[in-house]
Amino acid sequence: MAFESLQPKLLLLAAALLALFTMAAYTVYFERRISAWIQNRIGPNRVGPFGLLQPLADVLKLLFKEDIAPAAADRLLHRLAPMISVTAAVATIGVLPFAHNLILADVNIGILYILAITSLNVYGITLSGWASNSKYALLGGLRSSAQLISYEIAMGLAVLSVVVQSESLMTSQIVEAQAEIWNVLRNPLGFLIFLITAFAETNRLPFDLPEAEQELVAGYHTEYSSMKFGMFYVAEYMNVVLSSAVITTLFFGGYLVPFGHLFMSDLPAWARTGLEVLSFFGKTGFFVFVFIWVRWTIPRFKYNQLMRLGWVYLFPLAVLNLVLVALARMLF
Amino acid sequence: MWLDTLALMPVLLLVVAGLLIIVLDSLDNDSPVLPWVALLGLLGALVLELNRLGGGGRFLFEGLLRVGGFSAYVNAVLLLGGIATVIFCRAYLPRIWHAHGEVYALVLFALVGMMVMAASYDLVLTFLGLETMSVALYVLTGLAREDVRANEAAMKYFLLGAFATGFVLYGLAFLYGTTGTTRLDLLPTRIPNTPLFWVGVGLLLVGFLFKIAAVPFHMWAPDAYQGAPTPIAGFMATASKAAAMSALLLLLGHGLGLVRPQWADVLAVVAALSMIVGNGAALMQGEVKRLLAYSGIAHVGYALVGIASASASGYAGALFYLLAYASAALGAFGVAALWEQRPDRQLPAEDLSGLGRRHPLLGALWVLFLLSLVGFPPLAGFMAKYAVFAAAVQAGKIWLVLIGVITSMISAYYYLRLCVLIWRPVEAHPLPSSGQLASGVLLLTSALLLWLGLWPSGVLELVGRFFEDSGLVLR
Amino acid sequence: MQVVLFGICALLAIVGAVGVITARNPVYSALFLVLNFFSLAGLYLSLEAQFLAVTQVIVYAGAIVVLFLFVIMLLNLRPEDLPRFRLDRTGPLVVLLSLGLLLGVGMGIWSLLGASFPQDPQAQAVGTVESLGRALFGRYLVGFEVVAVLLLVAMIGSVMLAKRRFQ
Repeated sequence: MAFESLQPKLLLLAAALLALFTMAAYTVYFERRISAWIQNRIGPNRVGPFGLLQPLADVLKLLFKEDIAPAAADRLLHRLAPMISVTAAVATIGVLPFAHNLILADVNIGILYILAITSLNVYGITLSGWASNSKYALLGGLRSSAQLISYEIAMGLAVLSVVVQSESLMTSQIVEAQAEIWNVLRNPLGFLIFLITAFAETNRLPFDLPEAEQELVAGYHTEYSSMKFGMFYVAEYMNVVLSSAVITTLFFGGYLVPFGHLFMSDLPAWARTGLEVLSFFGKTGFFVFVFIWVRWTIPRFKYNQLMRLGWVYLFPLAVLNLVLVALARMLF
Repeated sequence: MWLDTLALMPVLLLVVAGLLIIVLDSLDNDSPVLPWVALLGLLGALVLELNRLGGGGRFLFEGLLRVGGFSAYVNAVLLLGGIATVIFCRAYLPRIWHAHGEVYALVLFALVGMMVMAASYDLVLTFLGLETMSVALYVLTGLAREDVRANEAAMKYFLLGAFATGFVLYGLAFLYGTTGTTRLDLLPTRIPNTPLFWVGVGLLLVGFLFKIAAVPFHMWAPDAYQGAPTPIAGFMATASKAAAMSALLLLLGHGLGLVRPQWADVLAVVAALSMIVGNGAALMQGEVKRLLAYSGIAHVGYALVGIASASASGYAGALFYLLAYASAALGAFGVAALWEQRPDRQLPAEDLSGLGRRHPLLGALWVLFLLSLVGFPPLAGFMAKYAVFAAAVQAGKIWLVLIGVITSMISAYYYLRLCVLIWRPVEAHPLPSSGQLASGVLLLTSALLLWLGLWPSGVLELVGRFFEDSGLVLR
Repeated sequence: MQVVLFGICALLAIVGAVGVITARNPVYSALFLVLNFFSLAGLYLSLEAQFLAVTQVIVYAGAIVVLFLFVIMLLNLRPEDLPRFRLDRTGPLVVLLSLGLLLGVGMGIWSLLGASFPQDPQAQAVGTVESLGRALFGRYLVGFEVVAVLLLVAMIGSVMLAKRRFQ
């Protein structure tokens, strides 16, 4: 392939990465601000106007910290684990459609690619837990691998119900299939299941058992410091952003502008694309807010409750939902 | 396609019965109804298979598999084995405190795998059937989890079986790579004469020979049979061997029928080794199940004589042999299961003494089954051996027949020893666990042996019709 | 491009496979296995079988090896706990048989060097989800269902062996 033909893709990649990292960094900031607001505090407001430069300061601080690894740690894996976490998080953007025809790789199995990549997330966490050679970290890693695997099944089934509705595995076509009506209205149960499993897959409250402070100090990243810790931190927030983006794509019409068919056709191409990108990131931003909102609303599950919810309720419900959706598809 | 699915009704029946058992078992743990559900499914399937025994086979799913004829015959043998196993399990398992409902489901699912193997004309499907059968049998072998010997048996069987599976897959990959197909009906026209193809065939053979426990891939059998619950050992010795043997027959007789000379001699050597090693080792066994395992290895050798003849009459003889051996071995394992008393589930030969006096009927049946295994006229074993030996003579493999006859005579020694042993007076031994149903099955089996021995022409004609005169292609 | 991709993936696959059996630490063995699976997925991709590639990653790398790791970590196996591999009395026989197998397979493959493999014009379409689905739910429907039975058997078996109390 010639370099020239790749150029627009590379440009898009750079832009998408930049947007992702910025969003992840500012999700941290907004989480602190919103949690402060919910708890009737003020939150970070010292660095820059409204504290907007806080993420930058955090990163600089982390970079200057000493990089410590426990003496009995497995050096190689200890170093590798955060990299896996970040890589697995970043790789998802490859198949996300930001606007019509604005997608890095519109492969015909896009949605499965997302599932495959999220399923790798667990390696970063499990390995960090094991390599640290510390009981808290190990317990966190084990909890996390059990949790991720349990919820992955319900998640996959929820995704499958969307695939049945849009008759395609391509992310772009899943979005286009929602031109008339968003999937959340056609498949509310599937959305609910996906939302819950997304919380579990990102290790966010109420499912943050792998890093439950009261029991496990900081769980799998107890023994991490400096930028290696920072990478886990960034990966977690990137996962929040990307899960929101996937929810948007699967259930909320992705880049489609609400009521767009009324006025979109009159606009020039650049404006249409711009509106679509705005719509995509707007919806994504909303779900990021939901993630933060839920964190300060619902307390943490106990481990047995977590497993029960995953296997006894969500899994059969997801199967039922898939059957119902398929039946509806067949009959109507 | 729906019609094709309907034609698979016997297999579907077993699947449904198996699922039903699982559901019922979860509602009422180890309910006594479960064996009856299993029996109902098995009998239904047997009736359906017997119904299409006479007609020619019919391809389903664009040539993926073929029902009726050949597969109906093999499936009938398998189902007979299944029925006997379920009934023996019902009498035997409560005594070792393992009357789990899942056992019946696993037996049914194993049969599903076997029946698929016997019908499959695509090696991928054959492989899937083989795996379904094997996985179910690994679990059943290790049923008595608290017993070290059972664990050893299951572990050995599982590890070696998984290894053999690897061989099958490896060979399958080469076969597909060199011919571009896994379909047995397309294979004959696409056989290339490259070494890689024959490497693939060789690897595939290793896997199958392992499953039928032919020498030199037989090491696992005695340990596995000794550790497994006795009725399950009987199931493994008969049904699983019959299924793997029929799949082997389909592969060699149909898929590779045009290149018979290339594999016939290899099989002849395996057959000879199996007869010699199996019978030789059986001479030295003191435990009945081990002895029966080695005798099973030897009998695989006799059946392979038929396949090694590479002719229509040889294949037919092998099929007849499968039925004759299955009935006799099932009976022998059944009597052993009923008589076995020790908590460690062993049955040393000395324990047999008293069987004839305490329970004359069981004793008489035991003698009958063993005599059929020897090949004593007028029992089925004799006609079966005659059929395969005659085919081998026609194929010019006189040396193989010589080995077969000599080893048969040797085998008479250990079989007859077991026959004599049971009439020794020992009054201390308690009565065998009575199972009227189990005794009934044993009686029916012995009747089958007599019928096959006295009037074999019906069945022989039937199995002969499955093969074209050239012996090339299965009908 | 394709040759380069194949070379990289094949090399990594071999490195992974060798790593699995040579690594002293079971965790590393499992990770090498993941490497091997990823390289296989890459090979599938180069053969236009995207669906297979992604399924390979989801099923093997994403689920099965994670469970392996899970068990290894729970058992807390350390390299020093494992017996060293030694050749005992059966050693020469093992080596001989393995070498024999290697020789046989190697000769078979050697004989193919220089042989030409005609490209199947339909190969491009075979790897897609559509064609795979049609095959699986058409001609291979029975096989598909047998796999269901197979998995069910494995599940029932493991639950029975693990959960049943024994007297």
